[in-house]
Amino acid sequence: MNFTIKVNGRSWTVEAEEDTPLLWVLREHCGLTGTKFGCGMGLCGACTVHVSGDPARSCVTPVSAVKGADITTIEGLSGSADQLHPLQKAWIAEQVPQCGYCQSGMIMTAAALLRQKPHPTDGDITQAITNVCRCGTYPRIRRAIHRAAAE
Amino acid sequence: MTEAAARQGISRRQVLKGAGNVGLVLAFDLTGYALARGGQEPGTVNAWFRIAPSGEVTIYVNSTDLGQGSQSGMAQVMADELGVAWEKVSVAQAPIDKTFFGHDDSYYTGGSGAIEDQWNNIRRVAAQARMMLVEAAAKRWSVSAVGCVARDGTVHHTATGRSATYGELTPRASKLSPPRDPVLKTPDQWVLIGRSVPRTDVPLKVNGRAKYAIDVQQPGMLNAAVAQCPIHGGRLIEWNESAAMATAGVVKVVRLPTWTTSYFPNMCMQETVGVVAQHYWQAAKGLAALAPKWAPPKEGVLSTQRIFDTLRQDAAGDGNTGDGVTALTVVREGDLEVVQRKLVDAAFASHSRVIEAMYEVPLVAHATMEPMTAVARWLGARLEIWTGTQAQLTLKQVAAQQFRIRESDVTVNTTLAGGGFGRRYYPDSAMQAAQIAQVMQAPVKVIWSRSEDIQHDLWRPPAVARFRAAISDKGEVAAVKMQQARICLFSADNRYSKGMHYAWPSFLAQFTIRPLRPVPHSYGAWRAVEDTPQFFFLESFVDELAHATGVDPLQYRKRLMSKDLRTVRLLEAVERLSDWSRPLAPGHGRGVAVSSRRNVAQVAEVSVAGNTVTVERVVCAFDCGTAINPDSIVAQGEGSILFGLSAALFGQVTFKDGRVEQANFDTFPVVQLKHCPKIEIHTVNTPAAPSGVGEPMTGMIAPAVTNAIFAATGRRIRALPVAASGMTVAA
Repeated sequence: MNFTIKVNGRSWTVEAEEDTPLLWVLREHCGLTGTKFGCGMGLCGACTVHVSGDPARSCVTPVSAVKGADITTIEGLSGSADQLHPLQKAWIAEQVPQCGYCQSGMIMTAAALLRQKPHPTDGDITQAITNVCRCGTYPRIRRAIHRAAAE
Repeated sequence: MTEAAARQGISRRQVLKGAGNVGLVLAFDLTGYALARGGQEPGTVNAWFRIAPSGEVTIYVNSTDLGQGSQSGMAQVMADELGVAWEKVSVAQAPIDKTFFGHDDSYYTGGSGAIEDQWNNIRRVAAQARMMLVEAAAKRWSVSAVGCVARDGTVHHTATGRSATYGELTPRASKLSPPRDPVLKTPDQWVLIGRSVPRTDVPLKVNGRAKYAIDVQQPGMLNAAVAQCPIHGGRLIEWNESAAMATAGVVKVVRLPTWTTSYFPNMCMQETVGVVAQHYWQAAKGLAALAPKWAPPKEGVLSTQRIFDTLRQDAAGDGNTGDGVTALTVVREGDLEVVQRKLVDAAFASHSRVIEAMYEVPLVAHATMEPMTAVARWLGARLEIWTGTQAQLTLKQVAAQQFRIRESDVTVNTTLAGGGFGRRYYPDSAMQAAQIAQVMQAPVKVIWSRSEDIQHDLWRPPAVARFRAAISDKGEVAAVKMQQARICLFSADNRYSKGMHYAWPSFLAQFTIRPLRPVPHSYGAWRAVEDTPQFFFLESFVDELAHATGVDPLQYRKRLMSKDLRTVRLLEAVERLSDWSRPLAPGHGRGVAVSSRRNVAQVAEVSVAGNTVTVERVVCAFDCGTAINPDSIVAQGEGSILFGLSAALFGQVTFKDGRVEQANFDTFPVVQLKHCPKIEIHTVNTPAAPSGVGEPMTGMIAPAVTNAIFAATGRRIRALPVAASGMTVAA
């Protein structure tokens, strides 16, 4: 089937089965590989993108469910290729990533949190960041979110 | 390889490959690198550096980026020795060429060895390059090199005030012979080493542009999903190929036989079926439609109960082996086995009070965030692979062996790795990609599902250890004896004995290794390899002895290692930083663990409410010798502690009817932000050579936490994980 989806402000017509998770459409049809596959069950959050501004785990979001929605991926978060989102700047300042694989999902989750709560408490952060990082970057993620919120 | 490692008589590589049989000594090359060659191509001073006319420097490193920061750390060391500004430096993966063979005369990343083992050699090649640039300037100006100074990418001639940039000098420098005895900078001349410069790999990891194996795209590439026999040692008996082929996008069903390789004696590839499609989701759906059914092996299936029954039986024995079982005795560094055996036997004969405890660690998975992934393609009889491997050379060797081609006909492209922790040392998924690509005559990407990743890991091997201590009439420890039972052991030589740092009057450790029978499955190196079982065992029992003899556990350790001042200082540091002697509220407790081999001490503070444990705080003191990048060391400390904590609290792989019961992060939980204690890493710098930092802080956290739980509750957890001990972990 053909689907038209809007990703990072650009429209794409893709041919895929309707149950195809948005994750694989983004990665293989749109070539936006910053969004990662980690668990396939919506458990780890490596695939987090924004659908109409809300964080969504794209590995369990069928492409048929996001027709017409505004989708934002890590590649489109800052709004322009040569700019960084405040969270991305904070991520560099705090030297958050280790292997880096989960970080797109972490940053997208954090960005959705900051949109809802520009000055989140530690409790807000704990509640929002349910993503998995095996390298153990959690302490720096917390610090980077606070740093971005303060700027 | 360091002199210390050389004395240990076994290479890191050997440890990672795993020895079903211990005591093998690998001959390794201590001569170090082939002398750095002059530039082969324009813009190269020697093979390790490419200097553009603009002064931008590319540094080639032979370490894989697994998130541990060693590529950036190596470049930092080399840039300092070369004399260039950090802002001018970028890092590239060095070709898999003998010029770049490092520790153990191989090309791999593991054992925390990238910098520790190569510290002298990488500075040497950088110093050679610097001296060649200086010589080129001196020749250009017809002056003596002695009067020239290299700094910030420029050579200055002090007397005449002339200067030339490295970029200008490189073409001439590359034609010079490298000096045989390059003069290394002294610590007072370092400007980058010791500074928390920003890591080179970070910017691409915040904008989605970092490329892992899963992101590799090749023209005409197909995607494959695989199912490996879930009943280890079993076989495929039934499958619905027509249903798979009827799935949109599916082009082929591929069967792969079971195989093993002499390069990894503890790895056994299960029979596998793969579905190949245009897109990965189509392949995954095709695999579901294929609905493969599997029969158990005739020999019987894996059983957690049976594994542990066997190990417990072996641990309860006295090194009495039986068929096919290897026995091994280890004593402390400097002790003689014959003497220790006599002393231990005499102590147990003459003292009737014995303290005894049995400890267990389960199998655990690595569960890297990027599941196993590789891309392969064939061009005639030449194979090309893209993967985030930790062992490039061995991957080439295994591929050459399995496909009966020349090693030189295998090209390995190293991508970023979405977590390594030892898992990506093994060639399994890359070989599957190569096998399927051969069938398809097209580039193929293999992506394991999370359940394949957990259920077909090379797990940390299970272990059971029984400790006994003979207690004198005065209430003091007279002898300690350990009997440890294993299926697979990675190094129990002097590496281990150096960990046995306690000055008891006598000590003897015996191991039995009962290999992988009857059902073939796989074990592998798991971050810090033997540290997590060994230090859980030792540091738990030491704690029990301290309590049994009425001494504070931290003071007990200090007393028993009083001659080891470097370690005592670490214990003093965590004692002070954790407020060790300040009383805690009821239900709270502190536990300590220490390793002189790793130069690490940790104190964990827990609270226990009812049956629910919260790890509140971890204080870690780490003596890493010369610190290259202090912030990177702290990051590795945080990561090591949380990786170790995941296993301590939750980690276990178990079998039911021969199948692994864990399949994803719901059944194989790991530490999340909500579980994260406050972590304080205190690095102690000594003027010694730098130690690796990715592993050393991993092994202390499990015993620190269980010792803290004991302090809080009086309850001793002797079998990991905590969550399987009848306690729960606070969410």
